[in-house]
Amino acid sequence: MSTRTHLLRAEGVVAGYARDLPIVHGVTVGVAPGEILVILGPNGAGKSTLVKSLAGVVPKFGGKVLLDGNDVTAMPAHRLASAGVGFVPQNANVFTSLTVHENLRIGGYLLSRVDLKRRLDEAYARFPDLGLRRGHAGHALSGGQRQMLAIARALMMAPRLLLLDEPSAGLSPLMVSEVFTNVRKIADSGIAVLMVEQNVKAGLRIADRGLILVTGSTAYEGDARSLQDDPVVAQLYLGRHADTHVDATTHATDGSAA
Amino acid sequence: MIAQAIVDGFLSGAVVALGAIGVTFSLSILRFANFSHGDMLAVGGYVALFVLALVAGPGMLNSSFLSTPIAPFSFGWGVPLALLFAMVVAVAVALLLDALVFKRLRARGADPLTLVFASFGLALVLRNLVLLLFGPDAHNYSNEIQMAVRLPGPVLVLPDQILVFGVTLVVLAVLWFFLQRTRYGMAMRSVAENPVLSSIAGIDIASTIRLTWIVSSMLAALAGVFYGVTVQVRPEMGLNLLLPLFTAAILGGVGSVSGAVLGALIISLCENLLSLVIPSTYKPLVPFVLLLLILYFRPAGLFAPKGR
Amino acid sequence: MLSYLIFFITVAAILSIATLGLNLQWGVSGQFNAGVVGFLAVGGYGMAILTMPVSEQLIVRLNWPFAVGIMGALVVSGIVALLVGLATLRLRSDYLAIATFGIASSIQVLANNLEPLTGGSRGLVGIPRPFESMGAQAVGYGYLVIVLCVLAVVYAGLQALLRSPWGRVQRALREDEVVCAALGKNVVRFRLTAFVMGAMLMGLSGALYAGFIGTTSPSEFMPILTFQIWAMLIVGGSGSNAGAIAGSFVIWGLWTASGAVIVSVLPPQWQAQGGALQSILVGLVLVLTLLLRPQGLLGPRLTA
Repeated sequence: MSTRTHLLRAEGVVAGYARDLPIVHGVTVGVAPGEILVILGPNGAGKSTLVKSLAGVVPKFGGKVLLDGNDVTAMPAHRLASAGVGFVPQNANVFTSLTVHENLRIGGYLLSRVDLKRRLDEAYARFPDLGLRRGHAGHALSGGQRQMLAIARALMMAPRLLLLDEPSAGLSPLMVSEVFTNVRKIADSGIAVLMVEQNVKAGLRIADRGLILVTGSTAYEGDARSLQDDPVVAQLYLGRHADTHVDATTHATDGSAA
Repeated sequence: MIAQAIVDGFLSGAVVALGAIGVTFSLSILRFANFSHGDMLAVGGYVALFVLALVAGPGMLNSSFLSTPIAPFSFGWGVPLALLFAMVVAVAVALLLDALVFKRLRARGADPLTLVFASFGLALVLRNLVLLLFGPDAHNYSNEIQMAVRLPGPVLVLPDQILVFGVTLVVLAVLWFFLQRTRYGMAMRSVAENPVLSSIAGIDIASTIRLTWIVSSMLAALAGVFYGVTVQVRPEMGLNLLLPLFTAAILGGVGSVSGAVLGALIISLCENLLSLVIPSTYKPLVPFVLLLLILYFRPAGLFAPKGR
Repeated sequence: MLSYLIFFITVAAILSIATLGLNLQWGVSGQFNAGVVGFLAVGGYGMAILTMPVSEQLIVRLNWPFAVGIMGALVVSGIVALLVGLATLRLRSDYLAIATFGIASSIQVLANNLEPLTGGSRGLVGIPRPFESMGAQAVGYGYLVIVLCVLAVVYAGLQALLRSPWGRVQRALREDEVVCAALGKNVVRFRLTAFVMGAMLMGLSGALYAGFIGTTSPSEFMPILTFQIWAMLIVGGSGSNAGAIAGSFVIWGLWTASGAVIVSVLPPQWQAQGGALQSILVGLVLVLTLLLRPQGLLGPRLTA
């Protein structure tokens, strides 16, 4: 796919928690509107750190990030949100002491009164389960409902790029299927989606392209179909069973345990 | 006797409540124990003293209108004016200290203890600046004798105390509205729970931090002036109030404004009730004993926001 | 002049022991004690109460010997530290700061009010000192020797401790607590022992001070002492025991020198303000060190 159509273009990104100990070593990745790019790799490969650095949550020490042609490398997280980047973290991704409604209102913090009302209605239409639980506090929701809320919160700003960090973590297979169906629908509406996943099978099934990260560098990139069909690649980089979690072969932490 | 102690507890609890709210904000939003908060109350109290001295004194700014007490209170319009100045100065000092010290340390990724240490040193400086400028003695805002009001009980209260209590209730209501119903208040609450999640939702953490300093120092100035009106000001007042303030915030559950208020009330009531049976010189021990109890048995506090 | 020098060195050496204790708490195990003076007071009062000659006004009439009094002071300060440490052990780090601040203010209140025990605001006067029977000069020189010996023993002991497996764990804990916990080290127990040991050193310092001055009262243990000892630690470079001792002498020297200037230059009614100026300078030293030293307070990491 031509890089000219990419909404997100990250080149040579070096990122980590300390300058002298980078976790991501120069990764180049691009996502086009309407496509889902899934980032796979063993534990500790730096997948989570990469997506967090793209969201502005983890510092970048090198490389360039372009959003629709604009250089957003140094942009802080809150400005990225208004620039059209939505991020769904893996942990602590909803405000547990606030209600569903308040969570969504915070998602729409930067919106005008009019836009906020409209987006809230859209969110409840898209996720009727949340609509039924408007007044429930975050801590009272089930794992699946929380994930929905986290995604709904990120969609409040109508982002053009949606970043997800392991959306299937801790969910039952049924919930995983529901979440991924939603992610596919989101991409089909024209949003570029970059998703980190441990669940290789489910991730590749809905993705258009895949990238395999090993010890902070790109080991393999290609379209999802060929990744799925190629057992050698899967074995090489993802371990014996492509739909199970794999232990780290490296000592680097990717920060998602934080 | 008991009725008097209870009423006194409520009345003096108001001042501690206002200060404790600032402490709970710093513990939850700024994420460190701000040891200079007590001295912020002193700054407020002393700025007001200074303004009152100017309008009552022999200089150019003398104003008999401002310095004449309005019956039945011990003070006149000078105090609200002095309060305004106190709040402005307190906010200015807080923002200045944040810009000069705390922001720099945060930018370096300093851990909370470094910020605590900085506030510890700044507290010493603030306290002694007050001592330097105003001397070691205690001061009253006015020497007016008030007629106590007799309530059923029999309970005696001073009009000043009633006014301070009433204004505190109004302030608390305004604060509640601010936190629950306005955008900025919502930002403060969300940053208190999860700064990272707040920033990816578009909230500017830096300006929320500034807002927190502003709100906390305004409340501190108010508390300091109220303390000056109902008790007196002295250079060690910040030091003396610090432990009750911290205990109230922790007792109530860090991050909870209503918790801080209730915690302050509990401390104040205990202090006043205990004074009926033990000598009042032991009053300062009450906050510490309560602190140890809560740390041992319920460190999250009594009214911590649920789901944290 | 000589006697003044002996006085100065004795006090500076005594305070060094407290600074070494603070180093154990902060430099070695990263805990913030905001009530240092409280632990010195516990030690000083503990020692005084145990050794005071029998008197009708005091309820404790043990009149124990000097050395036993010192031991008692160590025990009492250890217990108080345990009380505070256990309360805040698994809680956020600034809670220990608040709790230690609280214990220091509470000790001050108790000292001021429990007259039959502590002598109230007058304090306890006439604490028996070693070599008293041999005359003032002997007391002065003798005490200096005792203090220097204690300091040497404490220093050697701490250095050995830091080089020991225990010390290595403390250093590792400072670097990465999560890893250590994963390795099975009882993080909580290591923190607590460092805290209690540091507090006992502070108690020792307070006890030696009370024994030296011969009296103990609330005015000997004022809140400013906490800040002075902190300044001593960070000026010397926290983490280093030798630095702690050097810092103590430097800060104590500056403090007494500036105090002398204030007394000789300012009229009596302005001396409180002069004291305020000293305190402001100490506060600024603390804050500026934080701002200007890139590593913040850590200084040279744990030179053992």
